[in-house]
Amino acid sequence: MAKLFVFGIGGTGARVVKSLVMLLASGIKLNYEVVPILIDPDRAGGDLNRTVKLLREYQFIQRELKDYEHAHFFNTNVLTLSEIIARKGSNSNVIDGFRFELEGVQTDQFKDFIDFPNLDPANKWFTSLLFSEENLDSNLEVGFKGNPNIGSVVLNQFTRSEAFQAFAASFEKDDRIFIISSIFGGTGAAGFPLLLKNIREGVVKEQVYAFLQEAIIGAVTVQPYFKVSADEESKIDSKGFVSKTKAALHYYYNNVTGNNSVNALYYIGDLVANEYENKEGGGDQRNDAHFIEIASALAIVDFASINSDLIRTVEGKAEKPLYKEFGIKENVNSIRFNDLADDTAKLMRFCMTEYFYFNLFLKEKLSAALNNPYASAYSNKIDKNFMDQAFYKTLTDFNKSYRIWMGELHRNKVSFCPFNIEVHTGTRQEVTDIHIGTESIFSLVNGVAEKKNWISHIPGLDKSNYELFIAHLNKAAEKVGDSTSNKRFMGVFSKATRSIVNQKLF
Amino acid sequence: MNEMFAPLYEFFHYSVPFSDDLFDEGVYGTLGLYAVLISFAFVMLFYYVINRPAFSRWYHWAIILGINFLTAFSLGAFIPKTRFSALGIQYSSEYYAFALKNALIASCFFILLSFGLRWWSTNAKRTPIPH
Amino acid sequence: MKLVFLNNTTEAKTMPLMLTCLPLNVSGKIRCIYATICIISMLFTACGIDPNDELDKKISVAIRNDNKVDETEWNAMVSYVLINKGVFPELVDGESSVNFQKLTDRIVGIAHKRRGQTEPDIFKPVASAEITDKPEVKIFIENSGSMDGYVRGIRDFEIVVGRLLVLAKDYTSYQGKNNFDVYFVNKNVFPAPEIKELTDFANALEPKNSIYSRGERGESVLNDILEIILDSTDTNTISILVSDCIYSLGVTKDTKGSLGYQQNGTMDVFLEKFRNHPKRNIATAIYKMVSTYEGNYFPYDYNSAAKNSISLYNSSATRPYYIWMIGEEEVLTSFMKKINPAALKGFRNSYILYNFSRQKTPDYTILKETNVVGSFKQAEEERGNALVHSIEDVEYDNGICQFSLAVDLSNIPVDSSYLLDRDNFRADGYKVVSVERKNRDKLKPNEWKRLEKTSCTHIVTVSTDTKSSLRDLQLELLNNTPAWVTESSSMDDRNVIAEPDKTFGLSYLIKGVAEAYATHNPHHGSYFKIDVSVKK
Repeated sequence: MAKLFVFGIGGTGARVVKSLVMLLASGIKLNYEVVPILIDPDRAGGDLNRTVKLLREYQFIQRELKDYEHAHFFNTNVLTLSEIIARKGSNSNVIDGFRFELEGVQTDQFKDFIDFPNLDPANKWFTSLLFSEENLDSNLEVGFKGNPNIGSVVLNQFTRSEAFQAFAASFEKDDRIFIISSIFGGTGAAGFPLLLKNIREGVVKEQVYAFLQEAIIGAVTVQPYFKVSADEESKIDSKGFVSKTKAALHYYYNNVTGNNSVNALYYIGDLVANEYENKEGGGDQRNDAHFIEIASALAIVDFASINSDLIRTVEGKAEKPLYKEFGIKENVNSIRFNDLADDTAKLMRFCMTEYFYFNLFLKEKLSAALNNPYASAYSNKIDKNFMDQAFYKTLTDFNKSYRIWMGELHRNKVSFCPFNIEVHTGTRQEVTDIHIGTESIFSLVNGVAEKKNWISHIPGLDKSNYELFIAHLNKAAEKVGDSTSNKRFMGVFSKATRSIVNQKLF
Repeated sequence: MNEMFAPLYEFFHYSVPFSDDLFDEGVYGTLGLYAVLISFAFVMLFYYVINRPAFSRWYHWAIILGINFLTAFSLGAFIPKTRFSALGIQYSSEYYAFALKNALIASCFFILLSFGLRWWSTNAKRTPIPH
Repeated sequence: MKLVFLNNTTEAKTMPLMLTCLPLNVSGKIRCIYATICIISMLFTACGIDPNDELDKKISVAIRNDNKVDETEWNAMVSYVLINKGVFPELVDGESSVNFQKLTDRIVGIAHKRRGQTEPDIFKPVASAEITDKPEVKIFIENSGSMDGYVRGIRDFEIVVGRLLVLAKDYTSYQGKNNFDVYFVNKNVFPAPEIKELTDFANALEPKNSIYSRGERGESVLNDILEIILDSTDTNTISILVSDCIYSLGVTKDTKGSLGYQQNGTMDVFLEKFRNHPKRNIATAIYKMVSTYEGNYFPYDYNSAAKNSISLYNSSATRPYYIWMIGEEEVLTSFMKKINPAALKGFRNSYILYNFSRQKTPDYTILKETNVVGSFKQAEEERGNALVHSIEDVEYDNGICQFSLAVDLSNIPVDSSYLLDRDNFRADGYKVVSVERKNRDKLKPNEWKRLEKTSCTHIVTVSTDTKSSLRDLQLELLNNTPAWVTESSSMDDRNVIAEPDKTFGLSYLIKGVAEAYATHNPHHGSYFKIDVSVKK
């Protein structure tokens, strides 16, 4: 299967990749193997770390289900670059953790990075034209704090790194590339055109990589969709977001869209209603998930599904580049499935709802429902033992993250609230979990009524809610048959959630 | 039919001449058939018609077993009584002792049929004893 | 879901058809319910054996193949009907014969229900020999002097004999003719045709009446009379003798010896008849009757010189007399059905002797609840039969096992008192505890109901103990000389006033006849033998 290299640059990149992972976990299938590469100098970046952890969990789970036809959760392969290289036979540990390690940013200040003190006077003056005092003195540890001028310099090293070379070497004919960046941040705005340029050049350390030059490249550039609270201490000021966007767009006009470098470019943004805490990176820079990130992830899905004939690269230039925007049906502040455009809804609602119910059942019911046939009537039982093992524990962690992600989406503005959930928060106002307030679980999809048949009007005669769920699980278990417990578990739940969503919702 | 069930019933209960009257009037055949069929119907009811996860614990099964028992007891008292009264034969306490045995036999059928027929039930195949 | 069929009836074959009639989109659950209901309703109809259906089935099978009911098939049907005769009262005549016409009608009825079936050819059993010829009846009235007391005035004797004549006339009339004759007999036989037509019989029979007092009335030699009567009894003749049956001994001191001598004479008379006609089957019925007596009684030592007759005038005396009926066994049996002296005034006892050529086993059944000591079960292979003929799993209680049989003794040609005397029964290895008539008060209601369905009349209780090994029961009703014979016999009739119901030397007379029969039938010692299989 061909590969899709997804470069996530900066905080936005990390968050979009996270949304992508969630979508892939829900069952949206790409016909590619996804190789995420996250580029962010902010090592301790909260979003980055969350995403990496999630990717590792995804991989662990997905490995158990490789090619299992009954499970459609975790359907797509996600690999690190080093795994790609290892597959080809050579041993390498470049990017074995989804993250490109930028060198020299741990402790240096920018001026050390560019070796400012040792520049000759003319260069020093020229440099100070381009960079302010503040810029020169900035500590690079936490990224570029919204300064693409710094970012572009520092990130250049990526393109001279061993990792980049390894990437170029592993790039094959049918592979594609997708780059995620924000246009108003620090890292993304700089990194995207830089990366693009280097890929299109296709030369690393004097070696030409032809496939790379002709690569099909897609990108999403995320425009402002939030503010940060005003903080004098912080170097980040959201008032400058729009102007920076404009500046960047000018640059793109010449160097991205204008010269047909990119085969498909996706634009996304929103009216700015949200205000986040002003954190200059580090562990605390963890913004709530936003619907925009899902939309951006959908761009990747869309990109992966475009027919190769439509986006060809000829002689290093995109033949007929596509430019796309994202829209929804209703202009509302709380987006439900019905408010999405029909295609979007069709793509998302089954997968997300199925995974939602899967998540819900595991959280609320599974430990009490272990003596039903789906769990215990087969040689590989789902029992307390199973629940103590690594697979299940990883899955539980993943699901927790998923729920937190859903909670964050829910309470954000614009809110993405396809399900009627209560969001629980912790001491520092972070989302800790979500909760369901009712027993009639099929009324939880906002805007979608529970489908009832004539039997359910006679009380007591029809199965409802969790009982119905269990009945579907039992039936699904019969169809899935016997298998290893992990596979059987995922297979049963995949089938059951699909059939129950079919029966009760859409 | 009568000859088939007679040894089964008389294994549990034989008293002259009540048992001979039962035999002569074909009561064994009738009751035996009822026992098998009604137990079969209850088994079908529990495992395939009701077939609910919330009604598949062992005590739910025991409830159905109990209903089957009572049904068999009633039939086991009622049918011989009506038949014999119509012929002018009289007995009294024998009916109830026999009805008890009939109910036991029906329960045996119910248990056997449960274990034999439960395998295709999606929600109750592990009732009453998981396999 | 796999469905198991319990029996391979035609209903079972329609089952898959019924299931496929369900539309395919009906949910699985509803199909389950439907299937269950189908199975249940089907199997209900396919069980339970109804004898009526069974018989009809037998008939159908018999005529299906070849449209004939042959002898084997007929006999099978007949035995089935007889075993379950409680269910087919309309098909059974009397106690053990199937009405040919009614069964034939039933067969024809079933044949007509089948399409395209012509009249089946039905086996006709040979009807039992029916007497088509009316027999002739000869009535011999002893009119020796000792009989005067029975005819003086109006006596019961005259009334009974008169009635006998009327009945005989009626019985023998055929196409305008009566085939009966009356004779007076003393030393010889004297026909008395006038008696036949007489309406005023009682007055005609008077000692002084000339019609009555013909012949030599001084003496009667019983054995000679019997010889004459036997000689005149042809195959289609019934001879009736009315007599006081007193041997006349002549002068003797040894009554016993003389009586014994007479007895031999009687025996000889009968044996000769048997010898001369070896193929014939002669039966003798003796009835003791009692009549009022007005006259003198002549004891055994009477001589006219001593004038030692005993007066029984004006004493409301009664004396026994005897009616003998002799004839071919079948003829006599038919006759006795119509004309039974037991129904006549003054009847006391009877004793019938015959050759036991056709010994029929009466109906019998073992009672399950009556007089039971210990326990037993009806034999496995007999279960379902209304009549219990074998038992098994016999257990003793305190070393005793006892049970009762109900037997149909209505057709045994003996005195009813004979039947109630348990000494007349014998069962090897068992003790006959009692014989009594069936009594509703002594039986449990269920047992009574069961008994009513049979024709049994008496209950015989037998018991056995651990001392004798358990064996099959063979209950016999012995052919003994009834007790009344000895009781009615006197050795010294000078006590006649004190013994108004005894006849001098009767036991010798009757024993003579009995011994003749016993000699002629050395192997037939019992009226019937009932076999009951008794197993541990």
